[in-house]
Amino acid sequence: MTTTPTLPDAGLAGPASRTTGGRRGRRNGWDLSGVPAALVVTLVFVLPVAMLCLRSVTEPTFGLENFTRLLGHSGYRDSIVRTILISAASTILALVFGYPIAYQMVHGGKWLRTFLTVAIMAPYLTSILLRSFSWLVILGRQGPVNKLLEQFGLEPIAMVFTPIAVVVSLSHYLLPLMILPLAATMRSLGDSRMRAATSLGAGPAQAFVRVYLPLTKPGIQAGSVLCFVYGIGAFVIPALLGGSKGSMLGSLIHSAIKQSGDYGLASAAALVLGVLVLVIVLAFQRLTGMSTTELAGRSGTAAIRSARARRRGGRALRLAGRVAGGLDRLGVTRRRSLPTVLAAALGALVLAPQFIVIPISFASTKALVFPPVGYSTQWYSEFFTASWLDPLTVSVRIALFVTVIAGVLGTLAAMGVVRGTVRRWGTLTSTLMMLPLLFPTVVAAAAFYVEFERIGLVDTELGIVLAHVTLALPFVFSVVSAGLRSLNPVYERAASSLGASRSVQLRRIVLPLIAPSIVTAGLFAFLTSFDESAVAIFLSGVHVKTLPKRIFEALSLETNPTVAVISVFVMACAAVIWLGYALFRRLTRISRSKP
Amino acid sequence: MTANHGAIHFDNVRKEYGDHLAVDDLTLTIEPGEFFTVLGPSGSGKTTTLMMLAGFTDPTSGTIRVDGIDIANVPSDKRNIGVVFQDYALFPHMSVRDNLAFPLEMRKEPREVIAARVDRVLELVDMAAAADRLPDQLSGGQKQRIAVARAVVFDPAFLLMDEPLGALDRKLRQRLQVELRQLQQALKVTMVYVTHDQEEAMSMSDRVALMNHGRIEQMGTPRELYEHPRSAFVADFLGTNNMLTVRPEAPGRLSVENGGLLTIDDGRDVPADASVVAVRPERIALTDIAAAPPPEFSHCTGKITHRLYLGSHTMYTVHSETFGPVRVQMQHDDGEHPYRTGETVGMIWRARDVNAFGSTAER
Amino acid sequence: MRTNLDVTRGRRRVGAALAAVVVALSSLTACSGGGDEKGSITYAGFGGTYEESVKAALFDPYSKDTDVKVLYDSSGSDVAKLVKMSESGSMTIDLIDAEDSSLAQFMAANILQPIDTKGLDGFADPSAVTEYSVPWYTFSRNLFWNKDEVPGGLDSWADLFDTKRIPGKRGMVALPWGILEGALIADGVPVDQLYPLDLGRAFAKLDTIRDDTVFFSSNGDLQNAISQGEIALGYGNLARIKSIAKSGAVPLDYTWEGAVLSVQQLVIPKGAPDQPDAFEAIKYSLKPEVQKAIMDKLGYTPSLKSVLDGLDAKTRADLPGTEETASDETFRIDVDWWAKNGADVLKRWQDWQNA
Repeated sequence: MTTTPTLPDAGLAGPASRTTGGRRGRRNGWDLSGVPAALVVTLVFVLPVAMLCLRSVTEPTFGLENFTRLLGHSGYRDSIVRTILISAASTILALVFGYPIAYQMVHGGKWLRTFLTVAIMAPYLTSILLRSFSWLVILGRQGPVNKLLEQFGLEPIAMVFTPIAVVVSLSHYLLPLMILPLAATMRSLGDSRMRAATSLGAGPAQAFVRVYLPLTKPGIQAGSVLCFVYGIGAFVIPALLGGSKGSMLGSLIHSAIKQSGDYGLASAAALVLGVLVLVIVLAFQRLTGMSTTELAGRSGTAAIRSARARRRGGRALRLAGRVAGGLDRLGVTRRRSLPTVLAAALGALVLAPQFIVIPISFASTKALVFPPVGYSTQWYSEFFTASWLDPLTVSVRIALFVTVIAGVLGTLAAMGVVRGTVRRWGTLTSTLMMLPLLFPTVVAAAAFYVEFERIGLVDTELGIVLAHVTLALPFVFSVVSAGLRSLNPVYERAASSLGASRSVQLRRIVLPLIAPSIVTAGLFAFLTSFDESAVAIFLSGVHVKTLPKRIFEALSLETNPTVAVISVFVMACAAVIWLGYALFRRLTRISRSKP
Repeated sequence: MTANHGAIHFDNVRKEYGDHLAVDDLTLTIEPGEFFTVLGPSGSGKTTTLMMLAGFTDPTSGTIRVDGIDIANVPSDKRNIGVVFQDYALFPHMSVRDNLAFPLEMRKEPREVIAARVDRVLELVDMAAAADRLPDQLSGGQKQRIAVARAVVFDPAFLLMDEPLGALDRKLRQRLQVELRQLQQALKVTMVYVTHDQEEAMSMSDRVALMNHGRIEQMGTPRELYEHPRSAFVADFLGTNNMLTVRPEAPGRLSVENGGLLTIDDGRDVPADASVVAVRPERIALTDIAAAPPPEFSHCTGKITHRLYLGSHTMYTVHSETFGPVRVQMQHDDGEHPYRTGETVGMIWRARDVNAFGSTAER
Repeated sequence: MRTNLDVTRGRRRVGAALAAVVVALSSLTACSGGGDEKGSITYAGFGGTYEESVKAALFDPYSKDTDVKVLYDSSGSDVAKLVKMSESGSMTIDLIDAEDSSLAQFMAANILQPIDTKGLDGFADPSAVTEYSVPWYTFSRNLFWNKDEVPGGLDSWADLFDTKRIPGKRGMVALPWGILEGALIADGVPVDQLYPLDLGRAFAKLDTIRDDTVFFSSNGDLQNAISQGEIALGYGNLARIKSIAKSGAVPLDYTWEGAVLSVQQLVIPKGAPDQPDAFEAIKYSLKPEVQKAIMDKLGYTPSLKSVLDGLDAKTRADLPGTEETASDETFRIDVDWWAKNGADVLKRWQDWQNA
């Protein structure tokens, strides 16, 4: 009937119609509920980052001195170029590994799908520090890779403290970011197009190259940009595995601030990093028309929409198609098991670093040798001392505070955006909420450190909690928003008509109905804080030391297999939490779907 | 609950969504205890009207008063209105009993009072057995009853219903129409009922407001609207009508496009700018070509082009040289009609069954 | 009326929630503010096994005797950062463990608190005592090698720079003092003519091993890398080398040839929150049993003459700065030169590192 984008007559049960507001301001609107979260992100995140950027031209004196030093000196220039190259290489590696895995995660059998999902999610749930530790062992001089080479009579390769270790470890870290948008895109494609291509006479490989691959381009684009942006801001991995040859801007910022107190250089490097990320994200948006929130939400389905604007496949694609056709004629690609086996092998490879720490945790010596020379449980007893349990307690306490604060603020913000009536306000709030997810954490961590120092928040739990809240908010916000979007607003209206005030509606109706989303969001918030290393490394001190900071110390100041014990401990916890969560989801689903 | 409250007044109420005018200068009065239906096609502004009344959206201008009090500053949860939603909006995480207790809890009623009233209302809608079920375990009709029960359990000032029967099948809908009407009369509660289904509007309402493009086209009893539509839209929307484009010829005489001449001489004022006339198919009868028309009946001839057997009646399309295609509906009172496709027949009608509308009627 | 009541109740509830948040947040700050009270000092050392040794030898008995709690920071060698902290008035450290090149730079930046050294004597080398510092042991950095990788071992700085004859990854901590001097010795500069350092020549010599060398940001990093067999040879703190050799992770050996001697001093920065307790800790470090303990733990030479004189020849033969371990290439850092030039050299060093 009406063609206006706002559907005023969509019925009471229809989606909340966004309007420019009535004659009077809504008395009880949700519009203002995003304010606390927006305020927190602005004051705690945006303001320090802006001030840090300002410092690049004011520290130590006003002028461009820091930039002439950073960009004029070949060493720092190299470090910028190296950052970009390492990030690009890791992205490509993640794509090469991630594509077959994502494909089987969507099209594979049930068991393979489950296995691959676990293989991808398990590393995602354990700290980047612990994964770096695994790679230290695996790629080390006495690690399994070099042992294998020696078996074949080859010279061992030095990989640790070179860009090799950084690229391998970084791509492993980035893999989920590549796979999630890829899988989402593939899932939205379905099988029909491939079938159509085969029915039209294309062999499996040819159909793949000419039809499937081009259709997954949006997923490839989204995944690549995410990986590249995250890779460029990497800090812990190059700091631990890169040495001087594999150092990146992130580690430069860290050492400039924490070791040399050279805030000017650090802020200039932070600004360069921040600008790089923004340029990439903006260029990506310009090219694909995907919004920041969509990108940050890793929504591959959103990418599909932009696929319509896709250009025609190039000559290269047709050439590749011909090669694939040749392969099809040879019959190589007709073996069904090939992609399955490949993906399973890749999945096992992705999972391997998780498990290598188990034997290490029982090592009898301090040296990180795999397999260990002898076995003992000494590192387990070491773990149960104050030196490790205190940081664990601190981390848990901080994570709980973060869960509660980010949970409340993020949920309110999601209500404000999803149920609010002022569209511009909603866009502003969601952009603010998602900002900490896309912006390099190491830059934010440096900003927190430098600006918090002036108001005495460094080395306090409050400082870390505040910083972590801003990092956890994007997860809470996006998960709860998704939950709210799928919740019909008619329940709130019904409750309102029955006499329930806004707060009662929220408590009695909305929260119970989106409980699964809230639990998921809380879990993410907790893990974000508990696992967080960059901010913790900057903001921890002698009084407050989180578990990741303690692990970082153990990895950088001493050789200590206790880190392996933590890995095992965290893995066990993650497994328990994950199982509990899966059970919870299953239970809630069953109770909902009873006939 | 008595019928002497629940009077609703809309005074010059407007609602704009951006550039779109959803409700345009609405003024109406709903009497206490009345079953008032807002009828209209989708996009006509009927739901917006309801949303403003319930407090889910604010008018851009104008006032809404309930029992003489401006409710602009009363939030929806304080308006004390029972609302039944299109898909019921029963809280899926609460049992039927908890759903019904919810509005009473909000009003801080003592626990015994809540239990008693929930039981009573369950009895009223004949659903006592389902008290402990979850909404997902109910059938569509049962959900509908619970939704109504929840809307009345707290003795609201009046009831709002938004297409409450839309999701149900035809048989059930017809039965519930009767039940709803009975319930409303038993409770003596003012009812504002929104629907796009004219049958519902006709069968239940004391009065109907037919809305189109944000305005009330006509307001009155179902009979008034059906028998005396005041615009071509009303005539066309309710039931079926033969709409003919005309031009005034002389007082009481209108000429049809194809050359035919219509006479309206029953003393009504024919609009000076009359451009459309409407005659309902059931008010036209077929006669043998040779038969002379009875007195007071107008008459013309035509050839049957289509014949649709519809069970209770047959719908003929007759092509007349002077009037164009005309639909005629004949009841099956006494066996089948003798008329066949291709046959030339006569058509007769009374002048009072012809309604004429000015050119401004169609907006 | 009822509406009004609801509003006030709502406000009260919001007020209660706010109060809860305030209490919760203040509890967060409260449990972290402990360090500023009297009765606890923050010590800036170097973390890892070194921290464990110092804790066992000095601070555990100190805390037991004085009831002063010790908090450990690992930024002892981050001279620039500590200077910045002091200058910005946000000094949180009470006691810094400084080798003499760091001491020189602290003194040049004028960030140290003068201490009353009148009552302190009996040093083997009284000239090491300054207005701001008290020496607590002498240590060395030595050339070391992994016996599996470098069977022939090292005899001089020249060997470290000879990548043709002795291939393998070199590892050092990214602190310029000692390394620049070593580069010059390898390039043929006599030990007694090192200062003033010819920086151009030193960096040019370092360029020749740049591709074969990993520079680590901390002693712990280096120790880690050596234990994992990543490093074949290099130059590092003797205590760390001994610790690795003892752990059996890799077969490690070291030489006294070319060892760089340095005196380790305890200093109090200006603006330190708890200076009296820090001074007590300094005095405590000069107790003979503490001196003995640190020697046992780290393998370094006590600063008290009485303790040093009581050692047998066998023990002295493996301690830095004794006649028994002296060699042609052994030298001491010129503290005055580094005090004057340290800041500039550090900047040049940092830029070279990143080149």
